[in-house]
Amino acid sequence: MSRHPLAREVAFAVAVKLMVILAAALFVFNPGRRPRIDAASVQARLIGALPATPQPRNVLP
Amino acid sequence: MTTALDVVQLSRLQFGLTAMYHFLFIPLTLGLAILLGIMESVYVMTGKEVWRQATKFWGTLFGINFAMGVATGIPMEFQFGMNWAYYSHYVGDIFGAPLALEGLMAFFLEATFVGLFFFGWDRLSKVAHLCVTWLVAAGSNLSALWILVANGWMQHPVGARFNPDTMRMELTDFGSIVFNEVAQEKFVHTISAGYVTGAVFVASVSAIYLLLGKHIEMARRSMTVAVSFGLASALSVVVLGDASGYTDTANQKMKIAAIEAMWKTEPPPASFTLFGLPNQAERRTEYALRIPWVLGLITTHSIDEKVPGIEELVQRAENHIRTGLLAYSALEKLRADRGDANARGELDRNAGDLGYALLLKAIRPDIEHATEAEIAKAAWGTVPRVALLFWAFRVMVGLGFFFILLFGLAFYLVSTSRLLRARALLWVLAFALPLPWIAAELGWVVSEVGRQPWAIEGVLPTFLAVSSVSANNVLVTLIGFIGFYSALLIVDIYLMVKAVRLGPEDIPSEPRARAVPAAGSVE
Repeated sequence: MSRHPLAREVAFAVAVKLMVILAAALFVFNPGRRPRIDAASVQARLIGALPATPQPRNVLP
Repeated sequence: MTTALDVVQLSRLQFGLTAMYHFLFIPLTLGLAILLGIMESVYVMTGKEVWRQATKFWGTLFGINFAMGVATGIPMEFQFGMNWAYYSHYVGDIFGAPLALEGLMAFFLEATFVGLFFFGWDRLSKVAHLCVTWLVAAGSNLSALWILVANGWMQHPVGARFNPDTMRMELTDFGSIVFNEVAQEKFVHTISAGYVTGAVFVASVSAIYLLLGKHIEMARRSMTVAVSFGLASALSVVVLGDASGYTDTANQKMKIAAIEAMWKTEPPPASFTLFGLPNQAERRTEYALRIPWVLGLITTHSIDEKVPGIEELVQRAENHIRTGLLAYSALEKLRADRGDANARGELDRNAGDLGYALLLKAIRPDIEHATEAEIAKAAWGTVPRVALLFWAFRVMVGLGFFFILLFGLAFYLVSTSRLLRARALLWVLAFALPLPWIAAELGWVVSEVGRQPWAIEGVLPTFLAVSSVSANNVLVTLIGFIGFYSALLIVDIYLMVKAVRLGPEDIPSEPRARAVPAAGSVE
């Protein structure tokens, strides 16, 4: 594979892909941007009233 | 797009698209890894260079697929933290362990041996390199095992209990999670589907070479291996799929009823609806073409065991909701007084149905005051999308039987050295290339849409698993992922086509090998 005619193209594609994923991890999905969930927030969500109750889909009937 | 409803749908769409894209690569990795092992084993046993040539050529395609596919699953991990934060907290204690093991298998074991496979041809002995190739296959299969253990737990949560103090599910028995029958059935069914994908891929590309008259010796031998392995794998997929359906009949009855658009419970053995147009609003299947007995035989392996219909299962769900409300009430008491032993005992007795009570949260926040009509409405919410499941399942199974027919015929012609003259079949093989991916993706649609409305079957409704994030944020990242993955897919197809056009490396013995007339023998 290392001497394969496609080796450079594959390596380039992988490098670009990893850079995009790394950039997403650093700038979009970094720990600072993630919601912080603990026992109290789960308890508030499950037992307390939901402020904006979402619905998975149109339930029947 | 600013309501919580949209966040649920967008988060599901984002995760579903990411997973489906990721799974374009996995089945080919699983199947090609085994085929590489078989071809190299023949090379080591016979010493014939054409088998080394075949192994290196298919290894190049394996390498492109692996390189393009590796790390495409990582954005799913990002989404667990960002879009599914409540899910991650609620079940992370259990779900995280197999997921971490999958990462270790994929990134360390598999990737290490993939590197040795490509760079070890001139550095390792024949036998050592063969061992490396089989370890690549073992590594890819093991990483698939762990992710399916994680998914199997979502379908059939065992080995865990709800802890009201930490407000999360906690691991009680890792062994029962690993040996969860749903996970094990999914594992063998999924890897068999991967083997079919690998076999169809090799057979299709070989058929193109044979039709064009290029690389005849390698293509002929590759075809022999692919159709033999493909026939065994296609038979395995159907048999193991049947076993998976049997397991689901015991553990995910609503999924089975929805797949079969079976609204009412029939006297055993239930009939199988071969064709029909499920109408979920009116709870009936129009133009239904039914085959007596078949569903009962397939799903229960008996003639006297009934398969519950959707309406009966909704009734059962109502009962689960009522029991779940007892658990919910106990949980509220515990919230006020952690030392309330009676409430703790009540919760322990009914915790298994707590998730059903939480379904009412989609209807009203103060669920302890739910009316009978609201309980009935929530119970009907346990029915997944019937028409989608009905058709996805039938197309998947139809393709499964098509692969058996295709490989069976090709195997017969290879065995009788007539495949090279059967150009029509070679064309069919060439055009069959995308079909195993379609079947595999539909399989995931059946598995995951069939689990709805649950993120964790019977434990956590999907709408409660999503984070309280902005729908616009999810939409922006969704558009980003679609653009990123579409570009990757185009690059992947470009590289694959280019590699196929370049063909295998020449070998000194190839001119002499062309004189060999036998079309079906394996040397």
